[in-house]
Amino acid sequence: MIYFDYSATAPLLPAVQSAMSEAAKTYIGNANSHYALGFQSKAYLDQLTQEIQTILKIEDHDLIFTSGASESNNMVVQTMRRFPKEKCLITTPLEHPSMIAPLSVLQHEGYRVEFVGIDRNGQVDLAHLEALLQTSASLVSIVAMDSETGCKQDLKAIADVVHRYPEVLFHSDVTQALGKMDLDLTKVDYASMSAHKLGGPIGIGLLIHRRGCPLTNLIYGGTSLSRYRSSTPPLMLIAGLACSLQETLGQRDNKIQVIHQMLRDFLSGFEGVMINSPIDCSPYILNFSWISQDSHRVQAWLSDHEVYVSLKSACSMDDVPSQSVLALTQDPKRALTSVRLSFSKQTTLNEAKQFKSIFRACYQQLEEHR
Amino acid sequence: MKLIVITALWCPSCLLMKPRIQKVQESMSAITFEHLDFDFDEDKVKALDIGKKLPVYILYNDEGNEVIRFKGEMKTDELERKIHDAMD
Repeated sequence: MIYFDYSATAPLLPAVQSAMSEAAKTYIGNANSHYALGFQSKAYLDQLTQEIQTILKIEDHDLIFTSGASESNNMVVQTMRRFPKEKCLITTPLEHPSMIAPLSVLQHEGYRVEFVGIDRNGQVDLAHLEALLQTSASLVSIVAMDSETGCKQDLKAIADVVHRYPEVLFHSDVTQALGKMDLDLTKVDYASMSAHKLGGPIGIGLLIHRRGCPLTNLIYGGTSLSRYRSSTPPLMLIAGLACSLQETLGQRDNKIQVIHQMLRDFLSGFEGVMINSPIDCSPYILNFSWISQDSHRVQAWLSDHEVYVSLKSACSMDDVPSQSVLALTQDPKRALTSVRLSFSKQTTLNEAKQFKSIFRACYQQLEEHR
Repeated sequence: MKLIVITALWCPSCLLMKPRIQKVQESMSAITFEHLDFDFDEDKVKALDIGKKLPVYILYNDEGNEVIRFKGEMKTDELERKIHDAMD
């Protein structure tokens, strides 16, 4: 099996599995309970929270444990209902559906939503961003790394522009970016992430929240987990989250760059195959289009040969063009036929070599029967 | 005449187009606009067989026959022009 779909989800790391199992066995009390077992669980929760803050290097931010980045993104957008509808919400067409959808809901209610321009390398147009900010805004939300093409944003440069307007809040969905690019989370007011992209469990994520910035609950109730998000603290999941961060952050692997370049060069050699990921994209993602083929057919053929890839973000509708590829290339054909390979530290050179051999066969067979 | 517009909450092109569609709707009062959501109006959308791109615009004459359909992002005046041309 060759698994090249880590941007969809990463298999649970063995260390994470152990950490979760240990947490489930050891901390059986509800962290809200007022007796020894509860106090132990509460202390463990505090310890995990501290560990995560240290790993992420954020002292001025609180951690809010959510069910994942989708919930975190929705919390940020719902918070913007506090502000006048005339103040625009600035974002990009590269955002995850869990950002676009709640913004659409607010737009339907009369809020102004504006897309900042993206250049052909997938970078935010900073001049356009400044122009939009001058029309009055409440939020800038820009994904740190696009899940489909691997385009990285310069969050520091963006933050420098946003911070000239102190009333504007800055959010970034860092789900794909964590562990795969340098990130300074002190630059943002909010950041969303999901553990399962890092080999942690599905069902837990974070909203990183700068103290003093507004935040509106989606879920009200007791305040043991956070006053902004009620729930019995899911210690097992949080332990998995903390462990996944520990295992992956600060351990960038040059091998990934080698694999990426090898496959980029390899795929470029096929007639009708075009690389969509820019040269300076994250090495963890490689997006290409095979314009003479139905991409579902390509995916199915590869899957039959135990090679697993995505056509676009797993959370996007299957038969809709890739918005990210469309934004980069302005080519609907490429957007409709795109295929995404995504890697992790678990990816090996051997897998990349095997992929080459399998893809050659795939190309030959599908082109013959076109 | 009726224009059916199909969008989805998660679709960036639809997010971009909604203010433009609203402007056209306000300026073309002779046409009835019907807005369908790709997910929440699934049955109606399936029946229209709209293919792979959003948003989709389908124009019907007064007899209920489809006159034209087109898709995607465009400037407000282009959207208006396409509808006017189809009406002619």
